[in-house]
Amino acid sequence: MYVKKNFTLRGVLAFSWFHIVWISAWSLIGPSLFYFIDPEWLDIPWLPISIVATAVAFYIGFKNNSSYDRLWEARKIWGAIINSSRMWGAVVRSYVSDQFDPTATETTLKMHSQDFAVQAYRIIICVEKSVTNPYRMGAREPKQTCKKIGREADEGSWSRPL
Amino acid sequence: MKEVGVGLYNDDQLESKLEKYLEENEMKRIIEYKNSATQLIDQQSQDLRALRKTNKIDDFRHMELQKVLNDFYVHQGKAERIKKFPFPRQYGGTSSILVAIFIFLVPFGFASEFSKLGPNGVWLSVPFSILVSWIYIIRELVGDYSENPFEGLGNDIPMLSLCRTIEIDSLEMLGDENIPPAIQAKNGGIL
Repeated sequence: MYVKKNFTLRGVLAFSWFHIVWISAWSLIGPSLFYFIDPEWLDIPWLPISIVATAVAFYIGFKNNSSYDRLWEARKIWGAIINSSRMWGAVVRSYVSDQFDPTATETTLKMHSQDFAVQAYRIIICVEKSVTNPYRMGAREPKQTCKKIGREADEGSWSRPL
Repeated sequence: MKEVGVGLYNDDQLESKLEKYLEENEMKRIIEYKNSATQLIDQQSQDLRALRKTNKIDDFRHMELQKVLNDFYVHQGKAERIKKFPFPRQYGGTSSILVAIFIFLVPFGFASEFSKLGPNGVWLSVPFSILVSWIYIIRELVGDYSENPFEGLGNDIPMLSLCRTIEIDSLEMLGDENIPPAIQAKNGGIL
């Protein structure tokens, strides 16, 4: 995403200088023919070209509108992902408790606070992986406490002392 | 485009950083899957089941938690359909051809118009031809670059910075002390 208010002239030229080169070369051919050879049959009227120009302009206008739709839909999806992940964090934090466990003790209370930590950390990964792009991970030192918490859900690790 | 934005080429933000939040065995297993994100959310569901089994949540909360995970599947599916289904090529490709035809015609039309100004008048058509052709080329290019929003280019969705926002929010909720800095713009681009 480009964040400055305007593109600079330099930026636009850096983006399109290659095209300007070949357009310039091509634009010299028509006038050269007129100047040096001047064949009468080449004296084409402007009207058909301007009709082509209008058709092309309409076509590109509509096409670019559809392209923009794709970009905007993508942005909306990512907005929704942010909302959902905040929801997930809040919900996991408030819903996981010992309220329904008749055998709850001080020790298990401490344990489940780490349970929800694991849950909440994990969703970060889900989100970051979700658009199948390997370049998207944040760079930081491994989170030691989180790494230490083993993860064997199938074996019922939630009741394992940590 | 290579020097625009933090994180894509020079800053080495790669998949190896997965280990930050995943245990080593699990990370190796998750990377093996064709679609790691799908499998990770599935594992989250299994974790919820384990929580239910040990009475950390009741049925109602279990359903609510699972609903949020299902939402993530929905978002993932929506993103994947954009990533995997290209902008229909019959639209994208035709416009380049039409622009090429137009640019082919422009210098001849302009030269014949400007030749009415006198024998040297044709040369005045050159800058105008360049200008008009360039405008059409730029329009075509701008549309082309908006077609695929998940390619990591300068004008794409800034996924790295959005992910970092999520990471920061989640870590703050957990009361973590090592909050990573937000992604800043570099040379006018955020990725």
